[in-house]
Amino acid sequence: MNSAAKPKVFDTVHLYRLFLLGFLGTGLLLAYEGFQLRYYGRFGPGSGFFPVWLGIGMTAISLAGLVQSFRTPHADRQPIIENSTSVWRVAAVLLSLVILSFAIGYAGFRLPVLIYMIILPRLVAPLPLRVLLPVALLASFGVGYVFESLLLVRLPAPQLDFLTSFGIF
Amino acid sequence: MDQILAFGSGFAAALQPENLMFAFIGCLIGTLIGVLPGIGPVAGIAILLPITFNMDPGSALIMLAAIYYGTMYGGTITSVLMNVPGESASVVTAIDGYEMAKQGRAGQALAIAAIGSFIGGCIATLGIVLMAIPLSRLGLLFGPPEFFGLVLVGFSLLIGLAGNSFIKSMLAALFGLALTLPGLDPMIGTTRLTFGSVDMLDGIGFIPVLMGLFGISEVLYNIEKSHTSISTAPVRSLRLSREDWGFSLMPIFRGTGIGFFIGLIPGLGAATASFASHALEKRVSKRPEMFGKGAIEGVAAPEAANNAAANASFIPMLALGIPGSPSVALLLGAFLINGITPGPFLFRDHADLVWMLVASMVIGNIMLLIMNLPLVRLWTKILDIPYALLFSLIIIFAVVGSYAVNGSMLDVMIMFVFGIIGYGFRKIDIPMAPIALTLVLGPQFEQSLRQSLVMSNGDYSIFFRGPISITLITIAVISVLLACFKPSRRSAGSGLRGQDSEV
Repeated sequence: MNSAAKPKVFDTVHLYRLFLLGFLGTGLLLAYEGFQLRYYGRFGPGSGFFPVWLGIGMTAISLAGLVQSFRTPHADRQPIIENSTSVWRVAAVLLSLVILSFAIGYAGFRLPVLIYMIILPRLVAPLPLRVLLPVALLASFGVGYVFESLLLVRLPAPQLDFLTSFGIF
Repeated sequence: MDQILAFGSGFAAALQPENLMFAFIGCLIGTLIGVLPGIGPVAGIAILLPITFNMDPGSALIMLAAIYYGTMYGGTITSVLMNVPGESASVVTAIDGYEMAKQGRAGQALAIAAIGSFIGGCIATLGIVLMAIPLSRLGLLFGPPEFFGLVLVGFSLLIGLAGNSFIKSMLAALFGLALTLPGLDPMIGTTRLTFGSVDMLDGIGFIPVLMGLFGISEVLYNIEKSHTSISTAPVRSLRLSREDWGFSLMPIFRGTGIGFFIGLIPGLGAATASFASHALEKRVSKRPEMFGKGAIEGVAAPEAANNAAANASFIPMLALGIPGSPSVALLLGAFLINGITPGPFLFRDHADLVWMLVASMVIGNIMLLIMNLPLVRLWTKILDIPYALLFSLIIIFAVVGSYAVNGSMLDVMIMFVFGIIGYGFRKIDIPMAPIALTLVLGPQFEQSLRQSLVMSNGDYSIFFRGPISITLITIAVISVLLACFKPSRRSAGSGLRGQDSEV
């Protein structure tokens, strides 16, 4: 086996095995939950029939995948993310997604999106504020207006009283 | 004859200013989605689906359909000019298209691609006019075992073609099916797998899941790379010589034929059609050595094929209620959201709407031809938008889209979670097309299986009693067996990540 085949810290093969374990767990859970439901009734298959067989199938195929992954040599092992800059970018986007989803729940759509559109692109690329600000205004207040007033699509409303009292968020 | 008359009246409705406007908007957005490498038709339609909730159903469907076939046109532009396919069906176009661009013939490549797409799209639309009603009459003969067989064929073909590993494709399909289980039992209405959560009673919505898997994960995947500006080949003359026409005309018609028949088969999709037509042209060409070196027929045929397949895939969806690809599965969802059930009764219950939609496809193809030839330089300018801005906007639209479905932040969370899962799937080459199809068709699959078993008192031989179900199940079994014993397809060197069609 050549040196390229040696596992790095956490590579795509490890990730694949982790997902296979996830599928295995899901399959077992489905089969177990399916057996708790009615498998077969007077009129035919019950609620548990499909989950049981789906769970068994998923378990069997994940096991086959796991066995195959340990028995086959992996010459093309690669790190999940190539370099630290990429790790930073992905982490920044993921973190911003978490913060954005919580912020929208409390502060409504417009204000968090305005802040998000100013901060996040700058974390990834050095864009000037004179470009970001108009885009951020359009993406927050512009999109908000188009969706709520023209397309009549509901957007998250602020839960915080002081923001509601402004009337523009 | 009745179909032709109905098609004519559909034209009158599609030519109403409001419908023309929505077809135009759809073509515009579709081309934009096709041009942008960071977003495919599935994510595009999923993100924009909620904005149609308060629209007239006819206008909404015209716009969403135009987005879908518009992406087929738009994807070509970046394939030819930058060797960066905007969507999977244009991957094969890049092989000869980019070579032509390097030789200073980008204009001719784009011109023949647009003309091929137009001819393929229009002929396939004519095919819808002629075939949809006979097929929907055939659909009336379908009972639960036949529907089970038909859905199984779609699943098995997709499992066979998507990804580079049978195990990964199967797991993807089963994962999609598993996501359809929580909520209410489709047969008897009792709750299952809700784990005591009231929010789970409605199940897991397919729109947030697909937005996460296809939209957010694509953003995460692309953000890893540093996006420096890519050089674009200059577009000079769009004029085709007599020799160009001579090399292209028959390939366009052959590509249309292949694309049309592949589009009819659930599970295959436009990407398969373009690959198949490119391979055929290379085989029948008098100058096969030119393929890969800028053969114009290597652009004309796949483009005609992918557009013909995209339009033809409406036939099984409209006539039988069976979508052939993830994008069409989303369009099926759009029909259902608007209270219209595609299937054998569609042409009886909503004939006006369907014919208007079909007629709008011809109009949309004309609009796209105009948009893609004289305005091609404008489209390439869009690629100058910094990716940092683009991905942030994609995320914002995805948030709006997922929230708007039920007015629930839970759907936004679901979208983010599936975005991370999808990112992981991309890293380990788990194809996502089977997830999309099983997610949308899962409830129908389970229902037809259980209904069949109820009809037969648990006797599984019901699936082998009728000629239609026997044929369909045999095709499904053969397809799965072939996929199972086929060697890894990575070596095919397609350049397409596991041939994940139309994502």
